[in-house]
Amino acid sequence: MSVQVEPKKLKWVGQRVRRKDGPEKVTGSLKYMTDYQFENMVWGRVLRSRYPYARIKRIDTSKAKAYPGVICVLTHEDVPGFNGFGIVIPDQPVLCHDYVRCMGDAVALVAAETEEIAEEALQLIEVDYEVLEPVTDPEEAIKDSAPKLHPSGNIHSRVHVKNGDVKKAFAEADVIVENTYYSPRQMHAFIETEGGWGILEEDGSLTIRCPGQYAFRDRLQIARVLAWNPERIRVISNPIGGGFGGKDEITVQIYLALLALHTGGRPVKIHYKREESVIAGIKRHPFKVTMKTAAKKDGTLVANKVVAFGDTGAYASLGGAVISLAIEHSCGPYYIPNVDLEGYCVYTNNGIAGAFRGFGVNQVCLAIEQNIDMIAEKLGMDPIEIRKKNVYHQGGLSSMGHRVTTSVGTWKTLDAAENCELWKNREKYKANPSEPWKKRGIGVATSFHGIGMGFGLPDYGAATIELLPGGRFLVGVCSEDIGQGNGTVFAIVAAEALQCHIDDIDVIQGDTRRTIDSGTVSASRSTYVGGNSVLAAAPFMIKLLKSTAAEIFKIDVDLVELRDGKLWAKVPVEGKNVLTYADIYQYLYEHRRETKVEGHFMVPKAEKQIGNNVGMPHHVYGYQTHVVLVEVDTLTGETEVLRVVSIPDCGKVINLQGLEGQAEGGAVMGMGYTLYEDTIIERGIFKTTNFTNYILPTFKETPIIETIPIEEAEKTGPFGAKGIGEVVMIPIIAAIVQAIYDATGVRINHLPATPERVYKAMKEQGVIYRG
Amino acid sequence: MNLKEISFTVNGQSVCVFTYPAKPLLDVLREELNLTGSKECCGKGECGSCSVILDGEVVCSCLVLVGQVEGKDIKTIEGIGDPDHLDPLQEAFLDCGATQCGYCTPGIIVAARAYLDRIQHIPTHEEIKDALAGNLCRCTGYTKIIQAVKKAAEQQFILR
Amino acid sequence: MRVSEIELVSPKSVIECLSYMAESDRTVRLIAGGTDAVVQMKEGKGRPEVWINIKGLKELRYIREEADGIHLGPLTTHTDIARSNLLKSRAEALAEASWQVGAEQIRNMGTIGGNIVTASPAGDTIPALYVLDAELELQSLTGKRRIKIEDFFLGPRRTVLQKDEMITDIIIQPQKPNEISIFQKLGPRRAQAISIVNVAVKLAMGTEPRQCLDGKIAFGSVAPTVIRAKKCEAMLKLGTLTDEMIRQIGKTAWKEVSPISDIRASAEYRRDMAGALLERGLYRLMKRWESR
Repeated sequence: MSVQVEPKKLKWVGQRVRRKDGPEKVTGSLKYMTDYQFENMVWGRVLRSRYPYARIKRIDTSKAKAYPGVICVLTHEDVPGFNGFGIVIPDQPVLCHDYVRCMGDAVALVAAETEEIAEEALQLIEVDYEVLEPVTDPEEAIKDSAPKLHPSGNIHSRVHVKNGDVKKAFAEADVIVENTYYSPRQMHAFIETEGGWGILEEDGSLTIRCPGQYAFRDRLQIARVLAWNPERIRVISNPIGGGFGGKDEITVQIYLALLALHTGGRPVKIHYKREESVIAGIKRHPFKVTMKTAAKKDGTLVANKVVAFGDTGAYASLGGAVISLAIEHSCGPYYIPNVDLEGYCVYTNNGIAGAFRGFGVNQVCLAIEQNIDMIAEKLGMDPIEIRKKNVYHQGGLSSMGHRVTTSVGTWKTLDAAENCELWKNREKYKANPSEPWKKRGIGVATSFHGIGMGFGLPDYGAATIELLPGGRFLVGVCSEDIGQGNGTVFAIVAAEALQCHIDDIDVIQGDTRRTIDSGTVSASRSTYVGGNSVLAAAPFMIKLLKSTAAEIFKIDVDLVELRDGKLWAKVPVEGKNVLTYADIYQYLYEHRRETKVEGHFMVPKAEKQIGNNVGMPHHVYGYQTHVVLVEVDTLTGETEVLRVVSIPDCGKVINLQGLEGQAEGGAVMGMGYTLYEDTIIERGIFKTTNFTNYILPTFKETPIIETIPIEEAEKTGPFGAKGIGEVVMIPIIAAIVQAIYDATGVRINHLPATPERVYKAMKEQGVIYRG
Repeated sequence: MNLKEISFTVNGQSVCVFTYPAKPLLDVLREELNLTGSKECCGKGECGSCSVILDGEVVCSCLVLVGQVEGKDIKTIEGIGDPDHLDPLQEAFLDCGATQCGYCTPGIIVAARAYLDRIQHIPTHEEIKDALAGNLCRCTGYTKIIQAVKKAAEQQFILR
Repeated sequence: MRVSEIELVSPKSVIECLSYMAESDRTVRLIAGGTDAVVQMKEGKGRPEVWINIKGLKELRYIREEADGIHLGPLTTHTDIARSNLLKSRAEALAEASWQVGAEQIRNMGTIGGNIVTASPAGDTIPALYVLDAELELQSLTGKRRIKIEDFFLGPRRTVLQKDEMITDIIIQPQKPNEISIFQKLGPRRAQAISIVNVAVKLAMGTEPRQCLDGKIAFGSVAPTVIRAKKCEAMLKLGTLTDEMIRQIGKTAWKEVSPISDIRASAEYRRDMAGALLERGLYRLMKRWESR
């Protein structure tokens, strides 16, 4: 069963559709979890480690427990079930008992009458530590001499892909470039810090209201710690003040659950201050990538050798998957026949790294795109020409050696780049910098990003559609709206499939009681998976509408036609020959019949796995090219991005407004990663504390951004859509670095390209302004 | 606790709160007046999420002590419009797609409203960027917000 | 000290404020815009028993020209300064510095008096006040004294201000018709940034092209306090301010500063940037002068 809508008849898909949740958001009337207040509430706080690495000798909570206003103080002894969490392997203690491995480690929890008392009580908890020397360099960490942070050692995972004969290819190549690239520890910096509520309900069940990116998995992780039947726990995870992967892992849900069991039924609230969020929250993995790339004289790429180290910090979270995705994408959207690609995910005492928009691809994109630019330069080739020459096409082989059967838009995005106004007139744009000591440059880069979980990982979606009074529909998809507007996408898909107005669709997300498990909001998957799930449910709703109409008309269901959002009898009937959805609801209601249907969707997989690497390859990829214009101050090293052209291939665009929003937001986040952002940790201790010293792009740094979507329809996607969330921030990184090179002649291999780094490189090469 | 009665005006209504005077205004708005449109993000005046209009000028309510606003006039996002009576600026945000996760949005609308109330002309892109440089947004890349403010300004100054 | 136990008083006049400061047996601190004071309070670094809220003292918020200079009330906000036509034309460096403090919200709240007493080596208005020959009037119940701004700072966050004293007036010397000034700032990004290095320059120009008769240069964020660059100042008068001369002056700045390394920048970079900003500032000043 499927819903067929002819492309030219699409009413909502591809239009500029206002967000469903817009009016509540622009008026401030939307209640986020951290906005709720409850009568009789108490405040929860978390005691963090004092050292990046230490052995806990003793924890004494007696003074804190006796402090007036304190309701409970909890340690590892109060964890009823399994004391650990983590999406893949639960190696992060909920409350540490033997060692602390990073500054973000939680040692104790306090609930108190006021936030102030809770804060003071934390100071009264005595913890004796034996301070240990922290492990802070991934390459040192993998040596035998390094202390083992986990029983399995410091290598959390190793990924290796080998195709062809790399040695021979390098020997026969005409050009070889080799470079080492370093990338920053980017912070998600969602505007809403982690927080929420834990409430022990009167019936003994537990409600956790806490923004997250996968309510059902959060529930399982909570249940494991409490040793509870998960069905007795309800997680409400929507709405969310920004995620970007940073709320994919457990944040405060388990703390809330533990505290709620000890506050006598009083609701407990935690809301991190930004300083605590900086220390406790996961970050993007900093990488060291050494890449050696070879080509023939005509620009054909023939070999690529990669060694990448990802610093996952103290715990795994999704680090293994991040390094796997990095390696899968380390050759770019090109076909390179001979590859030797090796990645290590390594434990250190540097905070914790985990999921973050781009998921390892950002780090390797810089390397492959810079290496290609250097090859092009050596060969005297145009940077777009060399890329066009090497991209794989639909039906062709990727560098992983698998055949890509789904839609591939890279070539078209590059072609659009070549023909965009900025690129065509690049000499004119570069000719007139704003002041004599400034220089302008243009860069182009391309990348791609897998949609969904990849080979060997369960990946499914589900949606419900309920017919409501008045003939409206309630679409339920658990996958949360973390800001990207997937709720509006689900409404568009449903309105199209059910032939109704989008205003007649309500969407509910992120609630384990009211929606069914639809998988995570991550991996650029929610349009593809959620959209397909809604399309899987829609035929059941149409069947319900038609069969009910047939019953009312007293005719065979085959004689009922759904047209223009109404049900028509194709033959003469008694009474009226057309029924509205409202009529159908009324009939079902009067007959006490179910008005809700559900649909399920399994994500199709590639034909075979790449080696033993779980998650590799993906079946569907989104593609993206960026062109940027920068201006560099050669007195100070400051770089300003003036213009960006963002050219995504996300398949069919579902909501043009949403797509542009992703493209613009991704461009600015990618710009932040390239020029400004880094969470500084020295010897395991955070030097970055808040937004005073974590430098985010502001309005002032915002360039002019133009978005040119390339709609390379994917036949397995809803109306041909793929995904967009991550790839939009990736190639801009390399494009900016290339533009800085174009402007100044210096290549920055260590991000962010701060004024100081650019200045230092210019000084070394003698390109500082001299009048 | 050192509790005091403190009176001021919020969104045209006189209010009297019984609280400690060193409590940040933001916390009083959110916890005692249930005006949760103003958000805390950094708590240090770096992000603008807590922006309110105090005696006609936009300020960070996380850095104002409630004891300092005795007798003052405050406007929050709740005083600018509601879903049934949107301010033209809020309409422009919806039209342009200028909100995503929405957590920064109230602060930005407050700052933009204060700005448009102060000026007498249609601002340039650069002027809008200057006016809103104290408001961080992590989702939108700012572009559609700039468009929305421009659109609202055009309506305000051309239709007037 | 718990935040919830801190008292707050709002004196109605300067005298009432000074009386409170002199007579209170509790620890007191003044609070105006709160952009530094409240941050300090939240971080547990500065919690008095009593906040003396002077935000409402209208008598301390003014910009007016008098015979002995332009007088600024200490409660004048950065916004007041940045929008003042008088200061934009006669105290360019100060108007520009105030414009580059924080962002709109912070400029609306923060006051020039607060920026001075915070005594940060990176405080943006301070170099501008140096080159505009600012003097401060300090008042206590027992009397007033007037000191040069350069004598006010002892070190980072340390000043000569006595416990019972407050700044009650700031007097700057407006630019004469042949004078121009500029403020330059380098931060990690364009908006809302703490200075890595900043510099203010004021020049008195002669009748010949690019003839500089005299000048003052003050750097921020390159020493424990804001400092004057006297070698560079002497060089300003050596001859025509050609681009080559400007470059030489910029290079010399290297010898006048003693910065530290911190999370924002290395000492080495700061040292180079002192020269670069001075150089850039002088180029821009020349362009400004030549277009007059």
